[in-house]
Parts: sequence; structure tokens; C-alpha cells
Amino acid sequence: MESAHVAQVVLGLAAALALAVVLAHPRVKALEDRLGVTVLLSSGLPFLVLGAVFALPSVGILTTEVRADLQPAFEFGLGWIGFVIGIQMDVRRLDALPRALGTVIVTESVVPMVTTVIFCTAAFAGLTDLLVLDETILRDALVLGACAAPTAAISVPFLSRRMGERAASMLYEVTLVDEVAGLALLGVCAVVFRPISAGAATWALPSSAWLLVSAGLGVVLGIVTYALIRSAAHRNEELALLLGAVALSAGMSRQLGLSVPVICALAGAMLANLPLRDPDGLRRTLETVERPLYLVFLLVVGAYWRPGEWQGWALAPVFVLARAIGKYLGAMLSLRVGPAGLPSPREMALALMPQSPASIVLIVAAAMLYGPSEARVRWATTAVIVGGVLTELVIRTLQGGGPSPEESLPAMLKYQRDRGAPPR
Amino acid sequence: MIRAAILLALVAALTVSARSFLPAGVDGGGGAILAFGFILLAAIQMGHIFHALRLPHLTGFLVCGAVFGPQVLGLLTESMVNDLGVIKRVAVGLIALSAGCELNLRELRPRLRVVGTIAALGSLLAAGLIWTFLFFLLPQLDWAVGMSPQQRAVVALVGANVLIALSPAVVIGIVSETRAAGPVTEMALSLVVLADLVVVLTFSLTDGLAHSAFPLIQATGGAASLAVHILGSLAIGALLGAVMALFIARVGRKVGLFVFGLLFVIAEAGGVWHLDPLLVGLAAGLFLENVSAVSGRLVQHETESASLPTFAVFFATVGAEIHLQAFVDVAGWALAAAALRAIGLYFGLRIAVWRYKIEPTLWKRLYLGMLPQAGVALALALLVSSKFGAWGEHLSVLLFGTIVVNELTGPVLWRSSLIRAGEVGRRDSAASAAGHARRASTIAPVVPEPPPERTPAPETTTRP
Repeated sequence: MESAHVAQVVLGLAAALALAVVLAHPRVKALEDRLGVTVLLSSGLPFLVLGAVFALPSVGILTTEVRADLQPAFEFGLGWIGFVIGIQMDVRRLDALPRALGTVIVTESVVPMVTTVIFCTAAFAGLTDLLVLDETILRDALVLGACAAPTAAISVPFLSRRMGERAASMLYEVTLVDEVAGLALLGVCAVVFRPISAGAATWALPSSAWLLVSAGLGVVLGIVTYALIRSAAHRNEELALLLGAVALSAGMSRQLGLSVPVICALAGAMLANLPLRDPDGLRRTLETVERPLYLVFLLVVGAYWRPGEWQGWALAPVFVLARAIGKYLGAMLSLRVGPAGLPSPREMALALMPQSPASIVLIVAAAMLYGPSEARVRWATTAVIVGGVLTELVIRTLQGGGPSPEESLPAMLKYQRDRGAPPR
Repeated sequence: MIRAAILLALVAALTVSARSFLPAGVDGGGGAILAFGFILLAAIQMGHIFHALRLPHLTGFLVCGAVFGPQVLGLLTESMVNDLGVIKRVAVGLIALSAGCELNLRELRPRLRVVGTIAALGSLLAAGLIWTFLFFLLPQLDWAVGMSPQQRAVVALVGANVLIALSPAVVIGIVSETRAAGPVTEMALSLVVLADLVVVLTFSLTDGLAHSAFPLIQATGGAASLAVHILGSLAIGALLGAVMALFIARVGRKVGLFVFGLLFVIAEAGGVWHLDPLLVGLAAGLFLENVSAVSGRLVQHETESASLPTFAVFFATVGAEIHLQAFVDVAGWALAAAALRAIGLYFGLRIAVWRYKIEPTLWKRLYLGMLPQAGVALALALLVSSKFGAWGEHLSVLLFGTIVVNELTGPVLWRSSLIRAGEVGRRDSAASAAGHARRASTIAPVVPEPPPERTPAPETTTRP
């Protein structure tokens, strides 16, 4: 690299750091609250765009070398977010949920996944040359289906006024767990459709064996993480061990060609269900660095993003439509099988439509698994990113005006404030 | 200790199994993050094992890297260790920042002359002894047989220059591990930092001499590049310190992460701009502690939670780079060079003791802080290997061998010295002392020292 070019890189990275500082400021969070936008719009989108601009050859800040240096941080970020999702899966807490709410969670996760897979398979078939149609179309549609499940955080106080506290609390619980459904589908994709890059590996196993490897690895890593954390002499050592455990989990998943967030979520879930000395402290530790990691993560995602491909933009409305239909159908079904006190299907679908940033995590994890060079994976990435923004616009249109300030709590606040202690 | 050994075996077994997925020689995806996770967990457990054996954690980190590195078990490949380069550069910056934050020049001023004399005399005498040793050793070595006396003198000078390097990283690492505070700690910190500044400066001069004695070696720069390297690093470091001070004063949240981000940017740029992360970090720390209205102690506190992973990964990576084969090849000469270095430093210190009437309880402890070698010496030896052609490669083998001796024995001796000085664990009580209280009024509320075990760390605190 030439000296002038380095200056460019340094200034660019410094600008990204400055932007991260600005966007992490409490005033920005307050603004997010006031305007009722999700973190995807307020902080995520600027970073995605910044990443995309920095990666342009004419700008040349996020060059191949810089991206290679950031790659471990990127993989680590995926693992960390997976752990955060997994650690919410405390069986003791889930047992305390109202009866039949589990059915609602499954319905509101699975139905949008099914509709998205159906719609997107058709869309992919239309966008792809018929001569090269193969089973990877289904794989890519399944990945988009996984991205359809997660819902952004909802504001319990606001929804309580509209539909009552009980209904709002139930919907809130749905949003806590639906990310897991997406991760599960991604995990299935990773074992059924093995990445081509794993072809150089020495293990030749059937899909069922890979499923067992995935489950076993997640469980073992969770137990090892538990054993490590239990041995920590003080809080700083606990943090260091947690960093190491997440990195080890992410690295092992990558080496084995498995999905990083899936394995890390399994490990996190295992950890959450073992007798930790200070589970809340551990959650806080995990959540403290989540937002900065998430922003770095989005910067790199932006660098790999190819918004110039029209197919991605064409796929985005299909994805949004399929997801919206799925959420609505799921809401209708939930009324039949779910507990009493749920709101109307329209209200429920609108509350559960905003797309969680976890969708981007899922699509990027898939892109890393199957290679960002695959055209359909790139289109799917664009569809999920653009779909997040489109969904916000659709919700505002359907609601007939802007939401209340509390309409949509930023998703990061969901992680940072609410998730550990759901309101009762 | 048994639990740590079991956990170490468990983590190693998991990593071996993951590596067995790919054929030998293929690293696959995620090599860097796997290496990071493995080395961090393994080093911490190895540190516990060494602690149980009454040895420093830091030696455990080094041994962990050496054992699992490419030279012995090969669990970490060469490319994995190279991939950890950025993390290592960030770690060097953080360690140096911590050193700079420790050095309050106003408090140090009365002792500056003593420290300078010790550094100068110790370095001079050690360099003299090593130079003489190498000068007379070279004719016995095959690769130096054809050299003229003038060339031998220059080669010996280059070797001596590298071997007089001390180790701020080890000294700070042990101080951080033992939470030591007191006169020996303070003096050792200032001494090693000052001495290594001199070593970096003089190496550029010996580099120039080597190029004139061996004209066939491709020149890579002269006085101008030296000025850019040192002054540029110091200037960028001061700028970095100013940015950190501004951030702490204006934003005051997530200071640790912000510092990490800045050091990452510097680590990225440093390789191409020839910035020394050690000098950059040091200058930033000195600026914070001595110029800005922000206390260096505050930055140390905010980055405290990162110090364990930083030290563990840094020293384990350094351990992985230990050239064990080289040491075996030159063990006898290396031990002799290490002994001469120790003798030179000792007599240099004794002269300073005689001149300034330093108390025996102080200088005897201080001496052991001068023995460790690690980051700077290794980096210079690596430079010798890459810059000076065939003789550089051969000389570096001897240098690496000598550094291995000091790397493995130095931390043990320095830790025992701090224990005997009674300074271990005194940092917590010293933190609230008047040394840093002067700045506390500008930063409210006063930042407490690290919390007791298992209490959540306080959110950042620094709004003026």
C-alpha cells in the first residue's frame, strides 16, 4: 500500500470510529426512541452504507487487506451475537410463560418462514437462468425463510395501551424467542447443504451425522464455556474467558464449515441452563459490547454488500410481502391455537412485522458459509437489508401515520434493556 | 492446578479435533479467530498452572505459546501466528499506553538523573561486554570467517545493540499481574521505558553503520527515515493522547472500546507508515498523564478489563515465535551472552549506586527488573534477520537464543524481586493516594479502583 493510500485508510477507519462514537451516544438512542425508528435505520443503515462506500475501488478504504484484518472481528461478532441469542433460551424462564404461548411462538415463526420460502423460491426461479436451476435455489430460499422469522423489539408500554398489558407481554415473549427459529432453520441448511469450501476437508459425513456434529459441538462448547467461567477468579478473568470461549466456538464452527451463530447460540443456550453463579452479570457482560461489535459487523457487511445488482432490489419486495403475509396468517392461526387475550390478527401482524437486525446476522452467516461470491446469496443479502427498510415504510403506511414515540423500541435496546428481564 | 490442567487439555483436544477436519497444511476459514480463542484460553489456564507452581502467569503464557506453537506441537501454525499480528500490534500499543500512563514526569523528575544514569551505564557496560564477546566469537563461526575486523566490529555492535534491550512489556505485565506499586515498581517502569527508547534510537545508528560496512546490503533508509520513524511515532502518539483526552472529557462512555478502536487504526497504519506501536502508545500515555487534564490512571482503569486477554495473547504469541531450534543450536553461546548481559547491567547499576548512594533494598530489586527481554528485543532480532542478508540470519539465531534465556528467566526473577520488595498488591491501596488525586477534581466522580470480585464494573464516569 502506498503512503497516501494508507492515509486514506486511516482517515476512513477513524471516520467509522467517530461515527460509532456518535451513534452510540445516549442522545442518539433517545432520538431513536423519539422518532420510533429501529436501530437498523438509525445506526445500522449509516454503517452499512459507509461500508459499501468504503469498499468502492475508487474510495479504497476497506480494501481486501483491511477486510482480511477485520475478518476475525467479523467472525467473532457473529459468534458473540449467537451467544447473546442463545443465552436468552433459559428453560426456567420459558417454563414460566403462559400455557399455549409456545404454539404462538412456533406459529409466528414457522408460518412466515414457509411463506417466504415459497415466494422466494418462485422469485429465484424467475430471476435465475432456467438452465442452471438446481437444489441450491431451495437452499437460498430456506436461508431467506430463516431471515423472515426474527422480529424487532416491541414496546410493551405502548402496546399495553392499545391491546392490554397481557397481550403486549405475550407478544414481547414471542419476539424474544423467534430468532431461535431462524437460527434453527439456518442450522438445518448448514448441515443439509454443505458448503462447497468444505470439500477440501477430510471428513465425509452424511447430513444426519453433521446434524449430530453440530448439536454435539454446541453442547460441548457450552459445557466447556461453563467450566471455564466457573473457574474464573475474578470478573476480568471471566470476561477474558468469555472472549476466548466465543472466539474458540466461532473458530471451530468456521473450521468445520458450520454456521457460526448457530453453534454459538447452542453453546449460549447450554450455558444459560447450567447453574451459573451470576447469570445476570454474564448477560450484562455479553450485552455491553454488543452494540459496538454490531456496528463493526455492519461496516464489514456493507463492504461485502453489492447494492448495484438489480435482482436483489427486485427480490426485496417479494421478501417483505411474503413475510407480511406469513405474519398475518400466523396471527390468524395463533388466535385459534393460542391462549386467550391475544389481539386481533391485524394488530398482531403489525406488531410482529418490524424486521430484527438478527435477520442481517442470519443472511451474512449464510453468505459466509456459502461464499459471498454466489450470486443468489448476494441478492438475498440485498433483499434482507432493503427489506428491513421497506418493512418500516409498509408498517407506517398501514398504521396510517407515524407511530408514537414508543412504537418501536430500537432493537439494541431490546438487547440492552429488556431481554434479560421481561416485564411481568 | 488440576482443574486448570484439565481445562487446558479439554481446550487443546477440541482444537486438535477441529484442525483434524482439514488436511495438513490447509488452514481453512476461521484460522485466526480459532487461534485467538485457543491461545487466550490455553494461556490463561497455563498461567494458573504456573501460578500454582509459584511462577508468574506471564511465564505460563510464554511457555503456552512455545509449546502449542509451530515449533513444538504445531497446534498453532505459522500462518495462524501471523494472523494474530494485528492483535499483537494492538497489544503492544495497549501495553505501551499503560506504561506511559504510569509515568508522571513531574513525580519522576527528581529521579530522572538517577534513572538516566542507570540506563546509560547499564546499557553501555552490557553492550561493551557483549560486543567484546561477539567480536572474538565471530572468527570461530563458519558464516563470519571471511569478514574483515571492521565488519566483525559492526556485526558485534548490531548484536550488542539488540541484546541490551530491556522489556517494558514484561515489566508492566508482571506489575499488572501482581498489582504491585512502590518505589521499585515506579523506578523499574521508568528505567525500562527510557532504556528501550535509547535502544531503538541507537539501533537506527548501528543499522546505518552496518550498511556502510556491508555495501551490498540494500539500504532501507537513513537518518531521515529514522527521524520519521521515531519522531513520527511520538507525534502520532501525542495526537492520539489528545484525541483520547478529548473523548474522555466530552463523551466519557465506552472509553476502553474507543481506545481499542484507536489502537487498531494505528496498528493498521503502523505497518506501512513505519510507526512503532510501542512509541505511539507510550507517547499517548505520557500525554494523557502529563499534559492533558485526564488522569492516565483513568485510562488504565477503563482498559483494565482488557489487560488480561491482551497480556495473555501477546505473550503467548511471543512464545509461539520463540525459535527453540535456534536456541538448541546455540545454547552454549546464548547462555554466555545472557550471562555477560546480566553482568554488564549489574556493574552499570553498581556504578550508579556508588555515584548516587542508592539504597541496597532498592537497587538489588531494581536490577532484576532489568533482566527480562521480550517484544522489543525480538522485534529487533527479527529486523536483523530480515535486513542484513546471510550474516543477519545467522546472527539472529544467536540473538534469538539469548533472548529465549532472558525471556524465560526474567519474568520469574522480576516477580520474585517485587515480592521481596513487599510491593505486591499495593496498587489498590496506592490508587487512592495523593499521586493521582490532584487530577481527580477535574473528573467527577472519582473513578474507583477495580471492583471486588463478581461485582459489576461501574459504567464510565468521566464528565467534567
